[in-house]
Amino acid sequence: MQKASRGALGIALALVTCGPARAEGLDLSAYRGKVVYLDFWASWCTPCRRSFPWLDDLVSQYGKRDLVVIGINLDQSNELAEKFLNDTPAGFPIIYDPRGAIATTFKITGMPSAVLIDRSGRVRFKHVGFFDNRKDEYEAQVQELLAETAR
Amino acid sequence: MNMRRRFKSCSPRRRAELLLLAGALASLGGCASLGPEPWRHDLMAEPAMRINAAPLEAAVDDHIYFSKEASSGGRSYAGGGCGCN
Amino acid sequence: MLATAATGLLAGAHANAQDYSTDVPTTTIDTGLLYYHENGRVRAIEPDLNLTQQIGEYSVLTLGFTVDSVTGPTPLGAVPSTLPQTYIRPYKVIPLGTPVTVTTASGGSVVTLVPPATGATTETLSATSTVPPNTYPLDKSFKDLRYAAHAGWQQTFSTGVTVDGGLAYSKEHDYRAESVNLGISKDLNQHNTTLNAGVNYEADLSFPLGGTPTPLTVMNGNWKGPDTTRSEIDAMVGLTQVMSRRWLTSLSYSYSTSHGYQNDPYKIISVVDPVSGQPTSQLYESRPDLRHKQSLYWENKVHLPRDIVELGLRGYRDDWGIKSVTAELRYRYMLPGGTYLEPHARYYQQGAADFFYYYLVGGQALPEFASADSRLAKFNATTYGLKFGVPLDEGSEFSIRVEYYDQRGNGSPFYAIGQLRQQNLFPTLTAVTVLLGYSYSF
Repeated sequence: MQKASRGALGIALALVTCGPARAEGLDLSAYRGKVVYLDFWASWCTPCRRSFPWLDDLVSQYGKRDLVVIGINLDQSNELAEKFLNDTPAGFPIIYDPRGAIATTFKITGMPSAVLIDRSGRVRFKHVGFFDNRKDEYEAQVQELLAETAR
Repeated sequence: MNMRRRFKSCSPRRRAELLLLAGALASLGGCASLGPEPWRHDLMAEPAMRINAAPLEAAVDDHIYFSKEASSGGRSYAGGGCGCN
Repeated sequence: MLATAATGLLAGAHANAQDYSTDVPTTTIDTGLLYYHENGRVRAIEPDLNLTQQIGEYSVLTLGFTVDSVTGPTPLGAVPSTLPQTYIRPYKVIPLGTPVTVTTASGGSVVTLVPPATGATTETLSATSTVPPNTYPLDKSFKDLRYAAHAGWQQTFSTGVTVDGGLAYSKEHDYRAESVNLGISKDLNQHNTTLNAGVNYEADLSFPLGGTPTPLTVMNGNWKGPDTTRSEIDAMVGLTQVMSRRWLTSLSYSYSTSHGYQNDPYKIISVVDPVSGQPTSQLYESRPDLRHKQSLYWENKVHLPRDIVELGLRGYRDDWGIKSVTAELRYRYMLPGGTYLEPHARYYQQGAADFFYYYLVGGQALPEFASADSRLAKFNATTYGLKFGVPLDEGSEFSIRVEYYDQRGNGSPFYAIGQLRQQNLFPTLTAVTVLLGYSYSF
């Protein structure tokens, strides 16, 4: 089994059995065959806020071509995230990870972080920080993974 | 003159000061894994928690104290914050 | 002063915690108005303006201006006496033979014409002031207007290194200071650790009213010597560490060397009679022309569940023999709606410079350096303050801070001679400051 999906399945199980009522599991097996862009963000992180319009663009451009964007929220309380989402609704699903279990599994080293998973469920790209002058680079990574066929 | 003899020839007060500085610098090595995970910088991200949260006020104070007292500033203003990007 | 404007704005913009728009603020305008009032002495009013502008994702520009208007009496350095005393200071040179109407110069002093030297083509107008008996001698003519400006640039590189540089300029009617600063910082350990270092170079020019007096010569109304200069280099290294989610700590060490004219050209020191303690003459002060300073500063901020506490400690010493410790505490009580009340207390204690004397004794050999400036004396000072802050519309905050400063030294040294035993040689200095602040981010 691929490392990423094994870990993710483990998390899904852990969260289902002993996590807080609001936290949802991250079951990546549901997205096998598609490209998954996991965006780790929080309401207090300024570059994270700046990345939302760009992520919405990604969804409208590539969503029909099998790109799935999932926002993993790392606010200490869901309330803060919800306040943010009321002001700035996201065009993609949000999973709450207030205890950072998912972030820990993916060994996140900075805020914001993005993890790109290919159609076969393998982690292929990770980048830390959101920089305007690297948006083309980020988009190229998405296009590269979309061009591949699942194995 | 080697470091040990140099240290021993210092006054007790000077020795204490040097030890404090050495301790602070040595703890730098131990700092390699000290601190919260990147997603637990929510409180550090608050404007009031920045190391120089009120620069105008700090500059006014420095100027007032400098005109009435013999010592002067020398603070560093980098670090802390949300740690993003 | 090092990097007063560098605020590391890049990733944590000056946004109000409730502002969630994806248009993050890139401009901050910070204004302040200070009113300073010393009990029975100096009064000052100072407006300040600072602008911080984020440019792209990697650069920050800062600009600042301040105007400082200071008036009021300041200590001359002379000792009080049971007899009235007069002090003289030159203030204008006029061509020989110019008709002079005897008027009152500023501060209630009398204009005196100082007889010119033989063969001179000019004569000097001087101001003579009288101080009544048992009054601490103050220079009542003190009035000054200071303009200062600074500009800075901060640049972050992809390696995670941030470099900053800046210039500062300050001008008063008798003093000018220009400086340049450079700093570098690097984040390590997933932004939990920051190392930084900086240098500052300052060049000063002093052109006192009446010219520069020769140290340890007797006070007189003659025009004095030419302009003088001073230069200073400060170097600083610092380490900031996020210790936990709630605790931020920062340690910095700085070393500075200053060379040139260090005297206060207006300050004098009294020579007193060895038996009666009456002043017999006043000499211009004298300080070494070299000074090395060191300080260690440790700052902590802790975010409690609702409030924020800040504790700072500083130790200082220099080769003039001055040692000091400072302890400062702030506690921010968060009130509903983002408003806050922040009490503040500061305790400061310093020892005297090696060449500080309350007075010199007639008949004894003159020391090489001597100053009676209370700024170099042994004293302690406490500050108590309260700040109230209110967030206004999105991205702006109004604040008002009132502080009380109380400086106390030993006014009755045990060795005081004769009439000096009944005088207060270090009158308490108290001051009240009110600082209004308005900050707007957009």
